[in-house]
Amino acid sequence: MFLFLLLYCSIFFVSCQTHVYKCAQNWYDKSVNMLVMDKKKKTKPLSGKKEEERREQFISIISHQLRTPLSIVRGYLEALEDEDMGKLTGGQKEYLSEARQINTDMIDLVNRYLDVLSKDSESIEVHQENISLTAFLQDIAKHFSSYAKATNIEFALRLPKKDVHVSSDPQLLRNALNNIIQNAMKYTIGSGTITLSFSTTENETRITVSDTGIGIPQEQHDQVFTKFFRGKNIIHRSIAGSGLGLYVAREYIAALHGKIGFTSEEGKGTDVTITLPQ
Amino acid sequence: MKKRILLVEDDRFLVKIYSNKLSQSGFDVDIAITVDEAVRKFTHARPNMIFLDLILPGRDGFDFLEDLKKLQKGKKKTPVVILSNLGQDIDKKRTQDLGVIDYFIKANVSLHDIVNKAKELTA
Repeated sequence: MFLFLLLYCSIFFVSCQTHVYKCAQNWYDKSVNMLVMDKKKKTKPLSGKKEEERREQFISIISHQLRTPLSIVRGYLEALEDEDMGKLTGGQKEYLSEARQINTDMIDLVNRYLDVLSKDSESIEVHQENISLTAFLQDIAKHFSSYAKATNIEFALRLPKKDVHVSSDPQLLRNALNNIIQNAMKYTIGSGTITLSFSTTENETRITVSDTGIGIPQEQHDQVFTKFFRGKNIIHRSIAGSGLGLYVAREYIAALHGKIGFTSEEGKGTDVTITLPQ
Repeated sequence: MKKRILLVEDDRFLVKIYSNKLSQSGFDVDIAITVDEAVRKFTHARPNMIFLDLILPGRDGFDFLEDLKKLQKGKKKTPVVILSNLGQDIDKKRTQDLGVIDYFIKANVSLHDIVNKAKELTA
């Protein structure tokens, strides 16, 4: 039963990922077709309101269809982990934990797709709060430190002595940083260091995530923040990913009236910097 | 006395997962898979709280919230928490306007979160 469940999870993960890519691709194909048809027929495109309604309906359908099976698998795995169905051996716990990680990654992937489909920087709702950057970054570092340790990566937090408060949306900023740090983790292969730091000037605050990972090939630097971007050096190493993390991060930061940029050298690492207005 | 929860959910797997966990955590769980059944069970059993899915066969969760509003007019309101995989701002806003206490996206919420919310709202 247990092995069957794990096998089911693996098959489910692969088929789901294919399904998600197909859904996203179909959506873009349909959008392009509509534009072409409109030009040929010389008909008016859908009104803004109707187009918005159609988009909302589409997102509702895929939210429900993609998230429901993932919720079911999550529920069964959590119930097993809680030992609701009986005691587990150490080996079973380890397998379950790995299956849970795959399920979590898949949910994260679907959420990212839905973010991309449902929002652009102009339509993202922003809820400004006063944020203590020191406490905020300490919390993020705490979240990633244990994961980094398990993957043999050193996670360093470098904070200036003086705290700085910024007016920003903590959830959007956290989501953007999560995407950037997850990327850094993924592409710092084997071992290495990831450093989270911030600095301030009179007019702006800069938050930087530096890694000693595989870097981004020079000839692809202009594509890094585009949808579905994957570095050539990543594809050769078969590292799974959606190619959406940095695109979504840029949308969030744009909604916060900030900027995002990077420097990178292949084989040496990447620095991604978020600049927020003071 | 055990607190009573009405779970309005049409997916048989999720019904099993959520009702087992809530029962094991000490709650009496009533299950409804349609809005009509939910209205009937709400009227007879008077639950302490409701977990409500939005996409249901026939009439949907929004319709149930409208019915509930009429049924509870001038009376004490039973807390409702949405448990759905819809998550657009428009859905959240609509349910908020209809008086729901909280909104959980199923894929993003753990069984522990669900049990803790039930404990918090029935304490």
